[in-house]
This record gives sequence, structure tokens and C-alpha cells, in this order.
Amino acid sequence: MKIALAGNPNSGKTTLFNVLTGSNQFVGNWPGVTVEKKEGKLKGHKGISVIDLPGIYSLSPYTPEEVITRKFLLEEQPDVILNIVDGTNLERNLYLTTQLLELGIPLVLAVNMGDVLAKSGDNIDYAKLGKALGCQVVAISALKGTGIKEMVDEVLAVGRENKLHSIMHKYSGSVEHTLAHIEEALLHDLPLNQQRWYAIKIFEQDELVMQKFQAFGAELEHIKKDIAECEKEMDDDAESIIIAERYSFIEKVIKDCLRRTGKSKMSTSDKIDRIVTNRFLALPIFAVIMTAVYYISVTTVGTWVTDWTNDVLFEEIIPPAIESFLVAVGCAPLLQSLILDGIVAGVGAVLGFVPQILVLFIFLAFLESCGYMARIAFIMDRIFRRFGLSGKSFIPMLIGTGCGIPGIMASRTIENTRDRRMTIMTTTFIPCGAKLPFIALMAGAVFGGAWWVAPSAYFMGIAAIICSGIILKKTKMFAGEVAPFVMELPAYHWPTVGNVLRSMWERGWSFIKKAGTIILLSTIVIWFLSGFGFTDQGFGVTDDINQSLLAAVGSAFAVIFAPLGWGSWEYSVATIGGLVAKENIVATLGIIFGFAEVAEDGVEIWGLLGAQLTVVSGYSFLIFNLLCAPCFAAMGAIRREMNNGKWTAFAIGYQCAFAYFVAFTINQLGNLFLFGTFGIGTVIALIALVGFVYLLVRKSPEEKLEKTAAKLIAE
Amino acid sequence: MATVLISLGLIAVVALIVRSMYNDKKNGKSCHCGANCGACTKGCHSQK
Amino acid sequence: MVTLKEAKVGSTVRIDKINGSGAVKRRIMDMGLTKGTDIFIRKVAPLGDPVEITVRGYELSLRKADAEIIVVV
Repeated sequence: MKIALAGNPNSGKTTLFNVLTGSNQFVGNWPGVTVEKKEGKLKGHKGISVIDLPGIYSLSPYTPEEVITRKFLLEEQPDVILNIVDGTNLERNLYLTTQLLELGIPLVLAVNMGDVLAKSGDNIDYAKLGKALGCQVVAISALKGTGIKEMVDEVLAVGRENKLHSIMHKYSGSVEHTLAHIEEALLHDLPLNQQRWYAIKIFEQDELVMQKFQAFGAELEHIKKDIAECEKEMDDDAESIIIAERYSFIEKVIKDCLRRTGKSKMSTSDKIDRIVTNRFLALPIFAVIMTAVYYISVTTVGTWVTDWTNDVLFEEIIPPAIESFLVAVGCAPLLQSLILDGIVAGVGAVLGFVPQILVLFIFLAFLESCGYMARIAFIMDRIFRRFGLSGKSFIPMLIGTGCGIPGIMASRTIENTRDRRMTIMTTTFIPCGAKLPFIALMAGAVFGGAWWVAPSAYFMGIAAIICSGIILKKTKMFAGEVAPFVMELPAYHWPTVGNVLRSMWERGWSFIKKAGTIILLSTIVIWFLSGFGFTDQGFGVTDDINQSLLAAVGSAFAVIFAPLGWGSWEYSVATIGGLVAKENIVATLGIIFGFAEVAEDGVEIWGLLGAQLTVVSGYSFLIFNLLCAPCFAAMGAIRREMNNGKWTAFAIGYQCAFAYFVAFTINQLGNLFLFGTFGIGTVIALIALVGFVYLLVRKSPEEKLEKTAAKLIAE
Repeated sequence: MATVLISLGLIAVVALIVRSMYNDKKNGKSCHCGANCGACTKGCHSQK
Repeated sequence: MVTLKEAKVGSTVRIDKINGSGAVKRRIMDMGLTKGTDIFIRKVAPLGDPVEITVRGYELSLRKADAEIIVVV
């Protein structure tokens, strides 16, 4: 049996789907579009699949999500539709319900958010609601898990009996009249249960449906005349008539079934909003919050714990323990080195930062689940609109603070192709979880734990995204109409401790797993490359790391990075290693300087790093790696979402070029201001900076057109 | 002899890692993202 | 002719008609903004745009440019 799960976004559909299918889920793609398709098996029953349809507000032909849902429901004929609606937002949610009821498929209505409803004091008469709509209604709370069993029983019963509900929603006389005409003239060959839906769509002159009936030239003309007459009579266009009538039907239903207590509308959400989205305070508050989040994670709590893991656990406890074990069993020194100087040094360096990661993830999970981030999209919309994106582009950025890959995939919700491409290209500018150890490392080693380093990394990411957006939107490639921004603002809610902890743990665990897999493999490779090289005696083991293969490879690339202030091979190698996984930057440096530490006896690894880089070159190195191309996995995601080799190459090329420019400027101008060095590099940097500012402030082709048009009109 | 044993152990570990990564890719779970893609959708495409 | 774009924060207005056509108009109507519906203008975003309204019991945010096609009384 096939159950189709349909409902508005924010109705709790995803939570319900998870409750119904547990981990028996499969995520794929709807054919031909980049919309995610989720399918699963109903827990506790055999052979029953649940399809999670995209969250939609209506069944219009205008967005891919709606079209996919229509296609699926009409062509694949699921046995029953489980329509989930948000009980605290019944009026608008039922709008989709009226449309689903016309499809001729048995439907069960699940009114969600029962827990919130109970608290608010509002009251729904479910029996009356069912009678008014003509279908079965159950009350549930997907979050608390109440009513689920009754709902499943009802859904299975309806599915098995294949009992179709009666159509309770009749349109006004003149409309019904026209619908009857349409059914008679065009639809007698269609299955009976689908005729009404098609009739209504033809009445609305729905583009996609009209295409299907192109062959009926003469009848169509006749029908169009009928529709025009109806429109004249009702003084409105067909589409609007239908929509308006749906809502009047719903208003009547609501009057009968919903009892509002009329409590004061100034809920806690509103009180919070008054401050947080206040005209003047909103952005500063956002800046303060994010600064605090990064400061606390990286510099305070983070550092205390990480200092212990780095200096004690991974220096005084684990390595000596392993070493003594290996020595005791008589393990060959070369293998010992592989394990200690390679794997333990590399992986240990990365794992040392786990505490900071966990702290950061807790904060981010909290901000996301309480609803604050949706507000931010609302606020940021104005800024984003200046360069042609909408607040919707902010969501991928937000997700990117955890991992860039789901961030890139989240760009799918952006309908406009150009905007989506631009979002995909810039999402990875935001520092992801993998970059965090690197940021923390630099903050500690080069900047002595200064509080501003970590937050600055985050804001640099945002600035990079905004500047890129502005610059790109002014180019011919990306210029164009601004996407419409119509977004629902769900109420704030106190996130459950369980959810937040689980989210943090999931991300944290995957970070640790990554350390034990990809990074572990990388450390073996790096160790090998750093321990072997071409010395005077030919190819073989080398004690001097500067003669190793690693150094050779690094030196070849080091030239490129010299203008950025970090032209020695160690950093080139770390950067390249970062392409596999951003944590590798730390792992690579850990191994390289670990060898150095061994050679220099007792000097702290990171102290050596700090000694080599100045504040300026250190910051340049930091920013370059934050902005340049992301890890291979993320590049793969970009390729999948762009679906086009040229665009992918352009995206990655752009990121590297941008990173290079910024790091170059930082290095040259930083040296100028802090150390007074002035050379040809400084001159180039100044010129480049002027060019950059020009790209930012020049008029876009449209603005130029507008100005010319305005001038002509004025004359 | 310990050397041999440990080397074999290491090779086994590497083989396991490679195999698990390969399996992940086949199941389409090569997310490398926070969680398994099932639970990941909180962020993947919730807001619309 | 007053549109939603010019409506004052804190006021309640009723939709008289919706101009325009196509996807944007459809989307706006789908979200519940139909002829005769009451809207409460809740607030305006810090930089002047978008605007947040209460309609049919929930909150919706709309760009001023899109709000322009909604004529109100």
C-alpha cells in the first residue's frame, strides 16, 4: 500500500515522517528536478510505503514542488493521502486540503500541533471538521507522539477500504454550472474520480492541464467562452474566483469547528520579536550573538578544554602510552614512526579540537531550532535584495556553519536558477565545522588566543558572500529580476533539550568518524611523503623533513603563495591537504611541526607555527583557506547541484580567485600598515583593491537602463 | 614479529575504512555532512 | 488608490483587489490574501523591507515591491 504524506511547510510533516518511518528512509531525487524525494517503510507494518511529498501551499503549476506533487498524486495513484495540517494555523493549511480532496484519492486529515493547541486554549471540534470536509480527521502531536497510533489505524483502514469521501465543497452556482459543462465536453474519457479536479483546473486555465487538452480545439474554444461569461458574471478572473471561493468555504468551516479563546495576540514570540527584529537593534544584536557564539566556543570554554586535550591528552598521555607499548613489543622504529608521528600526530591534532566543535554545534543547534534563524532571513532580506538575492539564500549559509554540503543542497529551495547558482557558489565561504579546528589553531598559535579571530572568520565569510553577490549580480551572467520573497514566519519555540543535544551529537560524531577515516588515511599518506625523499643517497628514508617528497611537492606550489605571505612549502602542503578535508590542514601541520618538535626537543608544536608566521601572514593564511575551494566532498555536491561542468569549474575557480585576492590584499596592506613594508606587491594590492571597490559600487546594467529611461521620459 | 602483526593490523584497519567509505558512497550516504541524510533534512530542505 | 505597500504599521486594512497576474499573484493569493480579507500590518524589517503582516491567523512576510500589487481600503 502506498501512503502519500502531504502538507504545508512548517506543519510538522518531516517530524511526522520520521516518526512513521524511523530510520527506514531512503532519500533520492524526483526525476528531472533537483527536488528531494523521501520514501520510507511504515514502522511496524509490512509492505506499506510512505512517500513524503514536498511541503507545498497549493497545487498551482508554478513551482517544481507543486508540479511534482500533482504529477505523483494523479499518475501514481497512492492508496491514501495523509494530509497533515498545523492546528494553530488551520485556515491557511486547509487551503491545500480543499485541493487535495478534489483529486479523487481517499484522504485522512491529521491535525498536528495538538500540544500547542491545548496550551493556547483554542479548541477544535474534530468530528464537526470531518463532517464539514467529508473526510476522516484525527488529532495528533507529531512532536510528542500522541495520536499517532490512532492515525495510522485510520489511514490503513481508509486505504484498505478504498472508500472515497464525498465532495462537500461546492462552488457557487455559476461556477458549478461551468464545471459541469467542462466535464461533459472534455472529460468523459477520464476516470470518474479525477474529473472534478481536471474540470476545476481547466476552469482556472491551468497551463499544464491546458497543454494536455490541446487536441480538443473546438470544444476548448467553446469552454473558454463559457468561462469568460462566468468571469464577467462574478467580476473576477477564473483563478481568483476559485481561490476566493476556497477560502470562503474554509471560513465557514472554521466558524463551525474552531473556537478561539480570543487571548491577547501579544504572545511571547511577539515580545521577543519586538526587540530582536527591531529596526535599529536587529543587526547589532545579530552581530553580538554570533560573536558571542564563536567567542565562547573557540576562545573561552573551547580553549580551556582544547588546551587540555592538545597539551595533555594528546601530548603527555596518549602518545607516550602508545610509544611505550610499541617499544615494549619490539615494533620496528619505522612502523612506530608511522603510528606515532603520522597517525597519532595528525589525527590527534584534529581530535584535540572536538570539544570546541561540540560547544559551537550546541549553540548553532539551539539558534536554529528556536526559530531565531528564520527571523534572520527576514532581516537579511533587505541586504540580500540589494544584490538581487532573497533572504532565502541565507538558509544555506546557516546550514553551512555546520557542514557545507547540506548547505549547498539546501539551495534547491531557491526557484530562480541564477540566484540558486550564485547561492551554491558562495555557500562555502561561511566557515564550516571542519574549518573550526583550523581557525582555533590559528587563533591560538599565531594570535595568542585573541578573542576577535574566530568571530572575524565568521563575519569574513558573510562579507565574502555579500560582496560576491553584489559583484556577480552586476555582471551580465547573473543580472536579472529579483526573486519574489514571500515567507512564513513560524513562532519561536523553546527547543527541546533532547533535540539540541541530539543534533550536536550527530554532527560531533560524524566529525569524529571523519577523523578516523578520511583524515586517518590522509595522515598515513602525509607521513609517508614526509618521511621519504630524495637525499644524497638516492631515494629513501630521510631524517630532514625539508628533503622529503612532501617538501618537494610543497616547494613547487610555494611560489604561488609567496605574495600572500606564506610561501614556504609547509603551508602549501597544508593547503593542498585541505582539499581532501579541511581538518587536514591541522593534521598536516601537526605532522610537519611534530617532526620539527621532535627535532627541537620539547618546544610546543604550535609554538613553532606561531614563530614562523607573523600576524599578517597568519591571517592571510587563515582567510585564504577559509575562502578557497571547499573539500572534495563539497566540490562533488556543487557539481551535483550545478548539474553542469562549466558552472562547477567556474564556481571553484571563482572561489580560489576570490580567496587569493583577499589574502593577497591582507598580506600586502597588512605589512604596509603594521610593518611599514612597501614594495611592488603593495602597489599591485592597492590597484586590485581599487578595482574591487569599483566592481562593488558600479551601476548594474539594469540601473544604467533605468537611468537612461528616466532621462528620456523627463525630456 | 610484533612489527608484522601491527602492520597487518594497520592494513586491516585501512581496508575496513576504505570499504566503509565505499559502501557509504554506494548507498548515496556520502554526505560527509552532520548526520545521516534521513535526519539531516531538518536543514536540507525544510524552510520553503 | 492605496496599496499594501503604503499601509501604516499597526493598522488593519482590507484587501480590495489584487493587480497583476502570473506566479507572484497566484502565490500571494494562495497564501490567503484574497479580496475582502483583513490584514494587520505588524511590523517592517529593520531596513525598511520586507513587511510582516498577520493574515488569517498567521504571520507572513512580503516584499514591499510585491505588496504593491495588493490594493487595500
